[in-house]
Amino acid sequence: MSATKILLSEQDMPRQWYNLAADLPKPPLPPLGPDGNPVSPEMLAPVFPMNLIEQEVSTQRWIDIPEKVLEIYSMWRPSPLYRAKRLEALLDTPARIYFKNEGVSPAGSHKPNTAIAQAYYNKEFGIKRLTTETGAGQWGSALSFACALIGLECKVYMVRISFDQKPFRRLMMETWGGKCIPSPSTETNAGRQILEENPDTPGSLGIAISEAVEAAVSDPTGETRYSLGSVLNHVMLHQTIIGQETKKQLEIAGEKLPDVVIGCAGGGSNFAGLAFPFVLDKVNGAEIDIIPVEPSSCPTLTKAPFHYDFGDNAEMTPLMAMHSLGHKFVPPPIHAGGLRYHGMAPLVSHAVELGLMNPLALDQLECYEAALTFARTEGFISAPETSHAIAAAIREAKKAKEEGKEKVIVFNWSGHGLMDLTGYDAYMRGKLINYPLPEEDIAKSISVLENLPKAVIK
Amino acid sequence: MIDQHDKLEKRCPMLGHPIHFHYCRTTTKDTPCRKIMDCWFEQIPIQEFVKEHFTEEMITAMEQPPKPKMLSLIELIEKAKKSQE
Repeated sequence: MSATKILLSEQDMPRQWYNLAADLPKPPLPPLGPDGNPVSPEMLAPVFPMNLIEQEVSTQRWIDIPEKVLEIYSMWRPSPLYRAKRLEALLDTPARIYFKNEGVSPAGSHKPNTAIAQAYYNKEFGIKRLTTETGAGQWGSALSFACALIGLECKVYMVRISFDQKPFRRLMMETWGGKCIPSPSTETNAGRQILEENPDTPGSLGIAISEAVEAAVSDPTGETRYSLGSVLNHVMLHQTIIGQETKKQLEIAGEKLPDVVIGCAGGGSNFAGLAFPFVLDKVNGAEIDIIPVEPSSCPTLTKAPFHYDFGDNAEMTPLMAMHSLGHKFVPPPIHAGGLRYHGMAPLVSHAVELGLMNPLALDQLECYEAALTFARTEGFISAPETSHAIAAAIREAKKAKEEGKEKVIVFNWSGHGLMDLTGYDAYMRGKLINYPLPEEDIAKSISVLENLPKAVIK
Repeated sequence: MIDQHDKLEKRCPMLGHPIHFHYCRTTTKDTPCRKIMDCWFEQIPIQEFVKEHFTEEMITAMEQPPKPKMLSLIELIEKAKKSQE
């Protein structure tokens, strides 16, 4: 019997993160400030330690993973690579389907891969405490866990309504030693101002972010920084251990390079974590179809032009090169919250523009159907965002059957959906509908880009 | 009545847990949550509701898309610095 779980020993864990920025045939375009000049590292220094900012702008190919980080990773890493045998049998496909299970971390997703690293680098920089914001508490609990193990204080501004209604995630944070504060709070000017105007406000993520940033910026000791769990280059860098482990595991399974690599693409970190190490092979000539999957109702990579765009509707933020439907775009309904961005992570956008990835847009009904199929064959209940990767894998497996090809398909199973079952409930009760964005809506949305500079890769 | 749907419940995709409609229409001081139409169109005539109870300016503000985080961070840093002056 061939193995279902392909396991690595702790000694086989990769010792370096992989930085895709080193190998892109053309360098990524920098984010531009309101004055048209690139955003400088100094602008981010009040909230991030310089060692992480250096990673953010680094073009060094391999970056050593510190021993302390490896030691903590070893609590759940290397994560298992599964062969989805039952799913293969159901689909009657000649394809061999593998999925990387990142749901085995203490927090239940891939997020601790960067939470641990960020906590470590802050500690090395002399920082004593980290701040962040959270809604239901997924990122807040991952960072609390990381700070407990690294030895930092962790202050999480949790939206008040979530603080009141989600005691379990709050208790997870507190169990790991995080200080969870309902936001708005009396600890910051931003919070006090809101409370003065409306003492009974339930709070919002926007207010919580303002408080977390202000708490870092205003600490007179300079010993507090802010932590972010998605989008930025250094976050994606820390996730590349996923793809590097996967390469070794595929080799153990007797496979060479995969034919297809798939991940859901929102902020980009879980997709980048699996895919970027394989992009290196593609840059070096390997034939791999690398597929970021996004919702058909909010297509950026698949439909939008690569362009400089504002990050906001008010046109206050710096111009940034990205796939964008225009900053006036308002996405239609979709229930995988983490996938909703009007512009994709710049590094992923750039790789797509260079032809290194082939994005795919799928509708939510197909994704939920795939998640149910997966749960009823492989057993695991997936996060709604993760279901996009599963649906794409199933499509590819069916395509392999039609073509009669023994393809190797691998996707990132980025986290469980055990705290997200209401989406399944809505699907199973027939309450969800599809909303493919009409072409005329796309054309109208993109028209706001006409007077902005084009993102030309030289 | 503006409170007619207040007790309806739904999972908030931003916060990650169920909330009542009352929260969606009162998320910020002057405007409802920017996702109120995305989230509620299946259950109530949300477009009509928004047009009836909010001004054009509020609706325009509500429709603003989310900002890329690194860029919004720069804005928040400057705001926090000014608030300390």
